[in-house]
Amino acid sequence: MKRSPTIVFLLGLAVFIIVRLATGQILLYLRAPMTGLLCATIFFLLLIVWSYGMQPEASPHTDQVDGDDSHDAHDHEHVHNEEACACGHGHGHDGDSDEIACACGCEHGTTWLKVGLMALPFVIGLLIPPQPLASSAMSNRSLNRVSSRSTRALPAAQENRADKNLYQWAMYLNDSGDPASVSGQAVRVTGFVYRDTRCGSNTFVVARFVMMCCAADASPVGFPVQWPDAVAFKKDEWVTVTGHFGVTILDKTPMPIINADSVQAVESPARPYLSPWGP
Amino acid sequence: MSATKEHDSGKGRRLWVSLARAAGIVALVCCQPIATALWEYRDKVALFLTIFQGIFIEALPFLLLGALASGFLAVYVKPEVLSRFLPRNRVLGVLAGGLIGMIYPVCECGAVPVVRRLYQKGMTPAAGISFLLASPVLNIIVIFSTAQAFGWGKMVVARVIMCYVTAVVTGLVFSRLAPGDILLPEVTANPHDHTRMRWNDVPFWKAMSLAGDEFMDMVRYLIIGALAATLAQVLIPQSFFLSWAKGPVLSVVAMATLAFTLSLCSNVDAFVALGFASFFAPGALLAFLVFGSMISIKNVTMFRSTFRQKAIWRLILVPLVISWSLAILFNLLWRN
Repeated sequence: MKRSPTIVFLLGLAVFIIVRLATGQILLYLRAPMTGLLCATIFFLLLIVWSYGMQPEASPHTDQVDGDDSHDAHDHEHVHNEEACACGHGHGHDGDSDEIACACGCEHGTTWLKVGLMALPFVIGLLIPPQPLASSAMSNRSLNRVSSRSTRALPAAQENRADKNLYQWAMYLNDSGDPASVSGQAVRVTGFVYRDTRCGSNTFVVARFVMMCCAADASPVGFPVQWPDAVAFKKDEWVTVTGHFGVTILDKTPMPIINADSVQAVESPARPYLSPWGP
Repeated sequence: MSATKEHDSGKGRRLWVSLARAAGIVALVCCQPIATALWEYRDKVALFLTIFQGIFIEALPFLLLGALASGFLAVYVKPEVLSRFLPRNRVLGVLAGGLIGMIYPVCECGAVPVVRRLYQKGMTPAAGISFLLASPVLNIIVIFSTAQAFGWGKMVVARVIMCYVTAVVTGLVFSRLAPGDILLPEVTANPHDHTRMRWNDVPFWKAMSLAGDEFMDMVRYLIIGALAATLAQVLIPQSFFLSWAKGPVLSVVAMATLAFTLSLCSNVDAFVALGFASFFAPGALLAFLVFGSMISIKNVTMFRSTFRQKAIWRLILVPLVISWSLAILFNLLWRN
């Protein structure tokens, strides 16, 4: 009884993670390899709930989390002093010294109210359809702030240049530091459409987020695309851009730009983020 | 003593209730404007939810691991064992505390539940603090991931040494304070006299249930910490930190503040720091990697489960002063 809020919360948390794993939505929040760890998490959450079931019925006095009174059966040693109850959590013994008390059977006064407040972000998270990081996250982060030192971990896609993704292009360019080094090279990349104030009617940015671990560390990579009918694509729409790199001057600095031969709208990918450790 | 505590906890409960009531009333009165505002900023709301769930889900397995370790410590490890392994001497205890992370490789989400249990088993507050601050960096996984990002070289060595020095000095500063000034009463008072409670005879099931209780105790701090960190991420653009970050001193301040708001897991922050490598001096990256993995919005919230508010201020300021000065020093030396 006294553990019901705890048990409900733990089960709810397990269900929350199962939903995210089963729908594949976990890939909107995390890099994939966490999946095994999360399965273990679900297992241990359930094991904890199971262990609560294995404990003997709580004795009546440990039931008093809220101070509701039902201590008829004091069949056990009834110790109520400072040492026994130094736990300082909500035992609710205001005044009445007979009203116990040591709910410190480690039930730290978890009430339905607290559990409800704790569950709130997750309930909202489940109700609102999840979205991958996209344009709205771009304004807070800097574009192409990626370094190439971790290339050691990369598969050798360098040979076939047309197969490089946005992250690999961004690293390549950060390394060389010179947009002219890629000028004229064929490129074929997939990403979402992003616009900032500098984009005219015939340019947009094709961008994508690179994630190491979770959504908190994702950083965007992307390049401007020159395409006559750029306004036809809505922001955050996923596109595959095929074309050649060129150089444009933006804020008096040379910048790489993709002169597109074709721009195709595509389904948003199941893995919306790129990873430094491969596809 | 007990009376004030009861008073506090009653106050705490009333606070929860009145908060919930206030929230309910506000929600009812402002239903329509709130809905409009949410719709207006639906992109930001979606962004908020995505980042929050990212931080939370990523930290969850480590928090649970910490809670499980705490449960099994409670059942299987006697206080005598701990005192046999940890030196009695004040300085040696702090030095040893900082090294525990090497055999227990989790970041701070997994360290806080364990340190709470170690305190109940009689660890000194100072040794626990040096464990808490050092373990996010002085562990095998983090050392390897740092090396993968920066290569085996100065950065790895400097990160480990700076972190250990900061943790130990902070521990020594705290060793001059009385335990009661550092820890919350419920942590020190050894209230968990589990003999009074009837537990299943099998130690394993008892340990699991204790782990569950510890987890429930800690998870709310993780939720609040993740919410606060997400809010900071959504509201403050990164360019805010980067625009004024010139020179050996200001760059350190900027990167350390950025790390504080990002609340990244220490396992991956090296790769994030690498992204800034071409814009910042190495000392600034070190401040990001050392101060950021010890002290962040998420961590500080979790500290509230164990430490008094006054101690938490010191727990922020002392590592800040030490690690920032070390980082600035590193910047100045690196130039020559």
